Order: sequence, then C-alpha cells, then structure tokens
Amino acid sequence: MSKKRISLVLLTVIMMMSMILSACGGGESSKNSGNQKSNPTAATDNSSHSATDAPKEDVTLTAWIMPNSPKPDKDFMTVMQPYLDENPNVKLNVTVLDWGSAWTKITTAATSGQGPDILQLGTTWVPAIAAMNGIDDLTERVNELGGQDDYLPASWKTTMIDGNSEVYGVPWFVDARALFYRKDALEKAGLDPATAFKDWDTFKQTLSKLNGIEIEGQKMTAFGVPGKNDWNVPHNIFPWIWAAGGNLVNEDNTKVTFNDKSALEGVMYYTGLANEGLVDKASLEKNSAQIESDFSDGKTAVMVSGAWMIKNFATPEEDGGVGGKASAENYGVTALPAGPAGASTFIGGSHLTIFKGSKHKDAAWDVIKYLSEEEAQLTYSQLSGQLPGKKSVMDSLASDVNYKALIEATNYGMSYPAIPQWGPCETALVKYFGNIWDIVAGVSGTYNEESVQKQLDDAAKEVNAILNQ
Amino acid sequence: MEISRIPDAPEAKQSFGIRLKKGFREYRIAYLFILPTFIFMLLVHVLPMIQGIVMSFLKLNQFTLSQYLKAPFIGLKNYSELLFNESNPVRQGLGYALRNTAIYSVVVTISVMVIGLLVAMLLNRDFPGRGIARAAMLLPWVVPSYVVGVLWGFMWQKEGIINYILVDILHLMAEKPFWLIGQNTIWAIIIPTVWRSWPFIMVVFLAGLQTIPDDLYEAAKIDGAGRLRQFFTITIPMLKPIMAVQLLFQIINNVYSYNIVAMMFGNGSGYPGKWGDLLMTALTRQTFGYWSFGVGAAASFLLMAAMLIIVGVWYRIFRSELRVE
Amino acid sequence: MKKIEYYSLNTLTWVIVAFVVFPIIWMVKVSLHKNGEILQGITSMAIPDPQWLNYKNLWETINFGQYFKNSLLICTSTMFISCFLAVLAGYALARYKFPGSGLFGMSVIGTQMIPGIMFLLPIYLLFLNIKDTFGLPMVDTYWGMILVYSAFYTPMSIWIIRSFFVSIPKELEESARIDGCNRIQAFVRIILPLSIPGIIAMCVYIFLTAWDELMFAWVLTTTPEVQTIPVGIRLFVGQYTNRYDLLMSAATVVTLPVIITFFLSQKYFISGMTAGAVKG
Repeated sequence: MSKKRISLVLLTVIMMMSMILSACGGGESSKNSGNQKSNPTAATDNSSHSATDAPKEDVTLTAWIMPNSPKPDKDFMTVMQPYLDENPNVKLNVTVLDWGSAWTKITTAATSGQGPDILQLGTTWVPAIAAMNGIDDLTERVNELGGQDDYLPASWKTTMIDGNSEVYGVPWFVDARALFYRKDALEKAGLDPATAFKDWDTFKQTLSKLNGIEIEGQKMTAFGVPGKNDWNVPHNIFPWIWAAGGNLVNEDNTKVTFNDKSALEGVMYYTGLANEGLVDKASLEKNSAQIESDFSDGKTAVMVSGAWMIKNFATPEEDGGVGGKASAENYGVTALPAGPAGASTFIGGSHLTIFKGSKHKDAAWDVIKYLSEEEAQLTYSQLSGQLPGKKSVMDSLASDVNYKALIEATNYGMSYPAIPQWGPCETALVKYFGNIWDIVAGVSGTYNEESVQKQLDDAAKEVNAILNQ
Repeated sequence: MEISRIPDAPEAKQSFGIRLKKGFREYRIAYLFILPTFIFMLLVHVLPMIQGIVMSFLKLNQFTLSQYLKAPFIGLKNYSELLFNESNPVRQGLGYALRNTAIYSVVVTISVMVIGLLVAMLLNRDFPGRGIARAAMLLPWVVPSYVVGVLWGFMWQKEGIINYILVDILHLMAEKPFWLIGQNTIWAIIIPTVWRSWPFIMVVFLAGLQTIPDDLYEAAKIDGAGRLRQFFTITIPMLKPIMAVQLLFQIINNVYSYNIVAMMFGNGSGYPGKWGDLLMTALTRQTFGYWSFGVGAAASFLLMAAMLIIVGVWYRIFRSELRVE
Repeated sequence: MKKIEYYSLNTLTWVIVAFVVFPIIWMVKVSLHKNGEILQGITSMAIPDPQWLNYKNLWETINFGQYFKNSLLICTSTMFISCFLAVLAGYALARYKFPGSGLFGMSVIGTQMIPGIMFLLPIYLLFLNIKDTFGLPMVDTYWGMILVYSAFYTPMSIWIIRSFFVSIPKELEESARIDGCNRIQAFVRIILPLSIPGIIAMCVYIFLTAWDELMFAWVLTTTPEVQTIPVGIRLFVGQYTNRYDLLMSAATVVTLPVIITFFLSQKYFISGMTAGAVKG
C-alpha cells in the first residue's frame, strides 16, 4: 500500500527541486542582463577616476547595503559595473540586509570583527558603530573627496561623533522630507501653493479648507499621517518639535530637552491635526508606504514624504510605481511649514563606511571613492530615487521643480545628535511616541496636554538614563 | 511517556563506578545510539547556554562585547538592575510584555486545546469528505509563521477584510475598530496564533480519540450515561496523558513566541505597542536595541528559571498521568 | 432527530473548514492584486485584473530563487540528520532503561526550555571561535545552519518517535532475536519498516519547523548564498521599498510547495501521529 505513496512524495520533491533550480537560473540570467545595460555615460566618464589607487592584485570585496532601491542588489551592481569593468581584478559581492534585522547583524558583526569590507550605515548608526570600534577612521582619506564642503552640513555632521573630529563615513545618499500636495485640490479650494504652506497657522487653515474636498468625485482627507506602525516614528515627529523651538538634547548632549514646553507645543500641533479631524484616524495604524499610497490614490491632499516618491510618480504601475494616476500629474512639493522657531525638516540617509575587520581597506576605499564620484552618485540616485549625498550632484537635479523644492528644504534640515547612544535612544522614542499615537487614535486614554506630556516625560526619563549610562 | 529517574534496582547499592561500568557494557548499543545526539546537544545547547549564564554576570554592552567572556565581572548587578532599578531602560516595558505574554499564553493554550479537542471529536465521526476536511483543517499549520504575521497584518487593517466582514456583512459592530493599535492588538496576535497552532493539537487529539475502545462508550450507554457524562468520564480521562504533553509544549511555544508578532508590526523593526509586545520581542529589542547584552542574558535566564518552575508545577500535577506506560 | 444532528454537525464541520482555509485563499487572492490595491486594503472577493506578473517579478526583484534553494537545501538536510539522530536516540530511550536514560530524557525536554535569545549570541561567537581555532568557517555556511537546526529539532523529534517506538510491541523484536537476528538487525529489519509512518510524521514536523525559523537565520547567515527565505522575504518591504504585491506572491510561493508535499504525505502524517501520540 505504501510504495505508491512514497514514490508520489518523492516525485513531488523532485519536481519542486527542478522548479526551484530553473527559477534560480532565471534569476541569474536577468541579473546579468541588468548589469549589461549599465549607464554608458558613467562608463565613459569613468576616466576621471584615478586608476592609480585601484588595487592591482586580485581582491574580492563584500558590501552590505540596505534595500534602498526597487531592485537593491541589481541596482547597486549596475552602478558598480563601470568600475568593475575597468578593474577586472576586483570582484564585488553584495548582500542586502533588511532594516529590521540589520541592526542585530551589524552589531554582532562589529563586535566580532567578522563582516563586510564596505558597509552602508544609516546616518544615526554611524556614531554608535564607530564607538563600538566597528568601522574605520576615514579622517585621513576623506580629503581625497573634497571633504566637508561638498556635502550638506546636517549630513556631514553625522559622519562624526559629536565633540570629536574623526570622520567615519562618507555620505552616500540623503533622505530629506518635504510636503507633497495636490495642486488640483489647492486650486479648487482657491489656495495659492506659494503661501498656503507658509507657517503653522496658514498650514492649518489650508488643511481645513482642503478637508473633504472632492476631486473627480472622490472625497479627500486633508492630511495623511502614519502612526506607530512605521519605520520612521521619531523622524515623523521631530521636524515639528524642531520647528517649535524644541530639541532632543541640550547643547552638550548631557540633558534631554524634548519634554520641555516648546517640544510639547510641536508634538501637540502635529498630533492635534489628527485630533481635529484633518487626518483620517484610520491612517494612524498605517505605515509610510500606505500613506504614500493613500496620497497617490487621491484619498489625501497633503502628506510628508521624500525623494523616492518623485521617482514613484515617474515609475509605471507594472514596475511597482504609481505613475499614470491623477496624482502623478497633479502633485507639487514644498517645504514643511515654518513653526514658531522657523522651518525645519528631517535629514537622514546613509553613509558608506569601511568595516574595521576588513582585510582590503584600500580597495574598499577605492570603491567608496568611486561611488562618491558625480557619475556614480547620479546613477544611483536615478536608480534608487534617493537624493545624492554630494551637494554638486544634488544641485544638478534642481532643474526639476519638484526636486528643487526638496533640495531647498535640505537647507534647514536637522538631524539627531551624533552620539553613540543614539540607537537605544531611538528605540525608546519609538516606544513612547507609539504610545502617543495610541492616545491620539483614541484607543488609550484621553488626548490632552497632560497625557502627551506624561509620555514625553517618561521617554525623557528613559533617554536620560541611556545618556548617563 | 515517562520522565522517571533510574529505578531503584538492587544494583543501586553497588558503587556508582561499578554500576556505570556494568551498565555501559550491557547498554552499549543504547549509549552508542544517543551519543551523536548527546554531542549535538552539548555543542549547540549546553555550551552556549552556559556561556549565556556566564554572560548574565558580566558587564556586557556595545563597548565590552568584543571581549565577550573576558568582559568585567559584576556579579549579580545585572539581576539587581533588572529586578530593582526602575529607571534602567532595559526594564522599561518588560512589565507590559510580561502581562501580554501571560494573557497571550493562557488564552492561546486554552483556546487551542479546547478547539482542538472539539473539532477532533467532530472529525472522529463518519461523514462524506472526512479525509478532505481533515487535510484542509491542517493547512494553517503548514503556513510558515512569518507568512502568518504578514498575512494577518493585512487582514487586520482598519479598512481590511476582517473589519469588512465583521461590520459591513455581519453588522456585529457599529464602527470599524482598530486592531493593530491599542488594546485590541493582543487579539490581533492571539487569533492568528490560535489559527496556526490548533490544527496540530487537533490531529494529536484525533489520534488519541481513535485509540479509545468503543466498548467503553457502549458500556457507559448501557449504564445510562448521557453524552456529557461519557465525555467527562471516558473521553477526558482517556486523553489526559496526551493533553498533559500537548499542554506542556503549548506553554513553551507560546511563552517563547516571536515570529508572528515580529512580522506583523513595523516589519520586525517596530514596536508592537503596549498591548502587543511579548517577552521575546521585548527581550530581543532590549538586548540588541539597547545593547545591554548582560542584562538581556540575565532576563533570559530569569525567564528560563520561571519556565522551569512552570514545568515543575506541570510535572507535579500530571505526574500520575505520565507514569502510565 | 439523529438525522438532524448528523447533518447539522456536518454543516458545522464544513463551516469550520471554510473559516480555517479562508486566510490561505485570501493570501493567494491578494497576491494577484496590484501593489496599490493591497496598500489600500482589499475587501471584495473579485480579482478585477489578476497580476500574474507578480509571480514572475518576485524572482527578479530580489534573487528569491537563491533563498528558496538555500531554504530547501538546509531544511532537507536538517530533516535527514535530525531524523537519523532522533531515530537512534528515540529507540534507545524507548527500549532501554540504561543508567542515565532518565536524565537524558529530561535534558532532551530541557533543551526546549532555553529561550532562543539566550543562546543566539553565544552560538554566533562559538561559531567564530571554531573558525579561529580549527580554521573551519561556520557562520554563513550551509553546514553551520544545518548543524544548528539539526540540534534544535532533534529533541522534539526524539520525543515524537520515541512514543512511536514504545507503541510497537517488544515481542516483535524478541521473536526476531530468537530467529537469530542481533539487536541492530532486529531494529533495522523489524522495527524500522514498521515505523515508516511515524518517521514520515516526524520528518514533516522537522521540515516545517526548520522552514519557519527566523531569528537564527538572521544572525548566522550573512550572504545571499546561504540566507534562507525568512531573511530574503523581508527585502520586499522596508524603509524605502514597499512591494507588498511581491511579498504576498512570495508568501504564496513559499507556502504552496509545503502544502502540496503535506497533502501527499498527510495520510502518513496523521497515521504516524496517531500511533505516536497514543502513549503521549
């Protein structure tokens, strides 16, 4: 009775195997084709790259990157292809880490010394990994790139540990946030984009006028805001705290200040928009991706997002973008409204670093140098939809009106203090800001200044404990 | 099954060495058979566990981790921090996680056992399509738990399918509730877990039911016992040994549950909230998020100790059942 | 009266089946939608425009085939090794009461009580140590993963198969011994063939549990050449990427083969569990 069954099971297993193997073959061949169509301009301009520094002997480099672009490893290899063509002795393996587990993995790698040669780090992670002695001091090398003046101040600041002068990373790309709005909705409400988002008062008025407006028969909510189920919980809130004159810590990073009066004002203003019905409360359980999708589907008139969204609007639906929708024709980008203390936005992004345990530091640096060249910066920016780290390349994008607004926004960009303890601080902030969103959504206590202040105080207590450890 | 010590045989009076020698000769084959497993367990379980315990006595953070076991020894400080220092960041939120894990484990374990038993009884009858029904019911158990987390995360959305069914079709609620934020979160993680784990218990119970001789029920019927009496005087007692074992594994699995919650919220990097955080997600976040490896190890050790106590209680309660061989 | 009960219980059964299977059908359905539609939340049963391309794109966007291959290789090897170890140890525990058998049986259960987070870091560092001492790379290798998984899933397997062996009457072996078989021959010729359903049940169990493992795969693998599906599947969605359509089709692809294999082996599985579970 059993033999037939067994053979059946075996047969399926074999079938599965063959299916998988063929699937693999397909994957690889497409990878090659991706490599072949590398940017021709990048290839020709590559001559500007000083070949003298390139390693002569055979080296195999490993790079760890995050999913920054639609096809993370292929896009990276596309950018690298001209370099690899010119330096056939260099082989490059790329591993893509997801943001969620990357932290664990990088931590263990940093402590054990077993890791990649080139490592992408989120801006806020650099000081921590540097303090762990996980990445190399690049101070001597960065002069070859032109140094500080070529990069955004807010971005450059995060390549160092506050109070020290050693540089540990090279800005690769910049994540800056700005307001995205529907031009047609503004027009219908009789608002001028130039003045509608000027400061907090006008912003609120604009949102109330936009709330419930109908475009092509679809009713819109004024503002899309993600809540606690997001990757960016602190990054979403801090611009409003900064704009209110609040800050995370005092000047010398010894005392937490984000529970003071002005910080509370910022938090109350931002969460108040949701409380006053200018935000659909259903959005508070969503993440940024869903908020972006609401906006592109015409459900919301305004949202906060970054450069990748501009690329999304230009990418057809078949490739996972949102091109072709009404929103793609009718969106505008402008800076976040100025608060009592002026305008502000969040500047993040990623840096390229050299892993301490690397055995090919010179070769790794050569790759980083290549990736910092204008052509490579531009190509990667085009593939990933991220703002390039280099200022000159960023400025060259400003001919596009939407990029222009975003790039202008970077002028008053802020970032978190570059302290080794930032990681745990962010973990704590995610927790308490999450609780605030629960309060705003009406599922945990009543929303008022006292309840929000209490969460901020609790968070401050915890962050203080982390700073004083 | 039996968890029993070496029986007090006559040779127990002989010296340990002689017994061991004699035993070794007699049971050479048995020792040979367990040897590979023994080595594996030593290498992957025992050795790392001892290191884990040692870690809990060290000042192990991001700066000292590279020294690993040579990091400064601080005695019981990690434990006292964890138990008595209210301002230690690693401690924050562990209370919620503990409460949630308790609710989660109890509710999931009981639901899984009750549903498993009832459905097993349903399936233990003869009806057309029984084989298909059985196989279909086992399907959730085959779905990887990381897929379960992602999938149910979508279904629980405010504008998702579950609210649609509950509110727009069945009109059970007036308003669409939030599932992924606030107090409901605990249900958003309990229900998928139950959905995934009950089928396995069902199969085990079904297997158990099939071993109960029919004459027992016949005899009870002749004595005039109703359905309910039969259930409590025959079915339950006969299944008790199986229940005891499944109960234990359910408790262990649920207290150490991680995957579903990790995948449902913020793609594993986020915070599941005051009502969604479990001990495992909290401990992982505290250990790697705050780099308090020493305190994290201490917390894991305490958790393991608590688990040992639970298992001890379990053993005391079910000891008599387990002796049945 | 009896009839009404019979039919209402049957109906109840099928209602339960519907409830249980619905999320899986939903997953397959969602995987055929566009990314935007999924993000907006789907509430209707209709699929207006089935996106079969999702099933092609998911292999191209990330190198999903490699992850799939790794998972399959690691889990299958784990299954065979764990199965081998568990059969031996389970048999020893079922048939012999040797000095230390109680302790061994207890420590087998005891291993289940160690929280994974407790020995995640130690195993990682132990692996690095092995490399430093013996020059044998362990982190980010197939055998490293297989070793860890085999050790993880052997205890529970021992438990399952042990009770199965207990349920096989001792007399069978004894008569074989009388016929001139030695112990090992009796085990191989008499007991093993009888245990096939139990062994299959155990193998299914091992495979599925290994297929499910997340935390150790994150830390112990560092390159796509070794990483498993749970590591790879998370690349579809993250800070700057949100291909929920591909995520759902990948989830379907990951689940369907397991379901098919399971369907083909489920008769063994259920009968194996039946025989094994009797003695708990």
